[in-house]
Amino acid sequence: MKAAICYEVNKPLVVEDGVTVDPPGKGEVKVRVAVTAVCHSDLHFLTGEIPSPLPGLAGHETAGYVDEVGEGVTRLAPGDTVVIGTVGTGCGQCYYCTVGLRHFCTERGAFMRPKHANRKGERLALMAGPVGGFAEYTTVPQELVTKVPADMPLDRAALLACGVTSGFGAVVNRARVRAMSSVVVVGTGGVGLNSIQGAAFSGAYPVIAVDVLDSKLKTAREFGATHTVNISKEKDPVKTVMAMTAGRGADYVFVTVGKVEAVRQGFSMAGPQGMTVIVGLAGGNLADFTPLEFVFTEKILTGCGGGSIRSSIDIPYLVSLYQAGKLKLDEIITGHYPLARINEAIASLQKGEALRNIVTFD
Amino acid sequence: MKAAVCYEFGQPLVLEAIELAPPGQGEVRVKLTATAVCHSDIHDMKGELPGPLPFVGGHESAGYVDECGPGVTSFKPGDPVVVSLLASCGQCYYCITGLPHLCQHRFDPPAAPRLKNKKGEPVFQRGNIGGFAESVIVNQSQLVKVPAAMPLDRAALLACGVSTGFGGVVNRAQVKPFESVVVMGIGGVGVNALQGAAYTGAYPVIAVDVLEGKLKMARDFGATHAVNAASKDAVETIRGLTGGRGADYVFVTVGSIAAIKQGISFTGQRGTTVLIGLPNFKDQLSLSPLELIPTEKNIIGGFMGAANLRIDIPNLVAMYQSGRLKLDELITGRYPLEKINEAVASTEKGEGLRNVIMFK
Repeated sequence: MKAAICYEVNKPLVVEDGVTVDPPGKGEVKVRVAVTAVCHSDLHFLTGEIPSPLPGLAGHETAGYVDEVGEGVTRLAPGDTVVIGTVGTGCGQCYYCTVGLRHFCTERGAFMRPKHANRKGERLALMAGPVGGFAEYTTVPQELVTKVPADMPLDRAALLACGVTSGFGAVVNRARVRAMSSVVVVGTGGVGLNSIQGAAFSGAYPVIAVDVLDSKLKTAREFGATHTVNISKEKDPVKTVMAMTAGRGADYVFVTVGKVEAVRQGFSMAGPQGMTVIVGLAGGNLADFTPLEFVFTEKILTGCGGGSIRSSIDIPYLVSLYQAGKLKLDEIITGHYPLARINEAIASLQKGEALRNIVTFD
Repeated sequence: MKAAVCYEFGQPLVLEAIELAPPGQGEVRVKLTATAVCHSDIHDMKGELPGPLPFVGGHESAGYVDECGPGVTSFKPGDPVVVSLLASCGQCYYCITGLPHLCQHRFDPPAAPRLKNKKGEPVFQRGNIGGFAESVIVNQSQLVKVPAAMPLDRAALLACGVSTGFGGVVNRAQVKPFESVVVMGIGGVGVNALQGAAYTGAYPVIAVDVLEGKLKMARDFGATHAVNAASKDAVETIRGLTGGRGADYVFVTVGSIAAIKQGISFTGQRGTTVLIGLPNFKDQLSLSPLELIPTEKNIIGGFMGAANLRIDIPNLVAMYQSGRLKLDELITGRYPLEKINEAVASTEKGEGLRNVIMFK
């Protein structure tokens, strides 16, 4: 089979034939990949901003068909249409699974065991999640696999594996935004737009989109933003947000841009006791934070991993929202690229041209 | 009246006669009985927190209402009161939503300085109190009446140290039974965080400090375990005490970046590090977002124990009077105003929990 392998950071991926994947072991599922979307966190790994062993295999927003199931897999059968998420349903036994925080399952580290080998037989490290979606086939633990209805288009379904859930889930699961609270979303890419959808869905007002491109801010309004701030044009964007939130700053700020400077600016846009949620993977260190700022304002700084999703609950729920016309997914897809042109899909995302580019497999 | 004035950062306070303006609209003059020395007073005196010179510090006070300005209806001369630095307007978003400690006008200075030295120069009241003086003029929102039977030196502690620690746990973090708590720094604020944690049913309640004597004392205030922060395996020890996970809540009552960073490492996934102690205002915290994203740890601040004075102070008084809150044990020494520099030096050395200035 073919896969797009990262041999060196900041270099085009090498689309190679003759790649192999382990057959499904106990509790594992082999999936024929139909589509994998390219996510910004793939880029963080492919550019070396977040280190990883090499050679490696990225791609973690994947949907496809169950090809083969290993021993002990009862919920899935060959031919099922599925999404492979980065967050598992959990072991069901550890502390976090027991208290309802499945995304913290203590067994999750085991998912990162490499399953693919290149044609020389070298194992391929999994990059940016436990999926290995830039390959025609992958083998994953059944916990990462969620069945979706057969009439759900798989390119849309794949987005539910990460981008949509990271954005929507940060608002709904992690911060639990309530109606009539004010929300700022910094960055209106594939994740940010979904935070905006989540905030609008929760009844937040105002929902303020922050970005550097007017074209993106226009799209943000279509996803539910009530106000927009173009930080490349505003002299004092923090002041502008203050004015939009009755002089206080926002109740919630979601920073979906993976830059520490964006986190710092977002934190300034939050009001007293307001919560800043770091969603975008940012390398480097946050600086210019004084503890006094925390003490006097009682602001909250936190993170959200993968939308804190309960995949077996949230993915089917989001599918039904989409099918009922209450969740935008079609609008998130910018382009489709066959595996042979994956580097174009990546370059286009890197340039900020695209919300989500989808890599398709035959 | 006499007051202890700070004219220069890092120098002893100067005892001198100060003139007090008459109480204006909504203002009350209080003749003080006691003002405790808090660590943030020391930050003020060293220039580690922003603010103009010269000033009179002191913000943990209690005394008797002496004179009321126009528009004051809730107090009359002779009322015993606690005096807090938390002013609130009663009308802004935060006051209306029940968070008066975040009032948008809480730090607004009076229209004109209320104090003058004998040369006629204005002297500022730190925290809009200036409690290192025989009398103060404050906004009525800074006062809470206490029962006549309540000893005022103990009542004074409720204005800041007790509320900040106890309220940090109970109001800000809203710790629940069975949750695990670490309190870093076993001083005047830390022991009250321990009392709060024990009161809410937290378990374990882990005291962290570098001095064995303080760790021993921590058990008297409700700590179930004690860990020396200087020990190499402090993080592992705390994980071991919290099911291998790290604590649900870590209260950092020490104003140092190193303590905050260590506190974050003591915190478990979805756990909350609460910053309470005031560091130098120029000190910066640096951390990687990747510490927060996969763990979903929270870093939050707690200001003055998120105190809602008119609710919390009577509650704390009732708890003290019914033997459920330790206050007597918090007072290390009592000093007349003339010896304030000794009291400050002793607090700075970390010798005691609270030193209290007693007025005649």
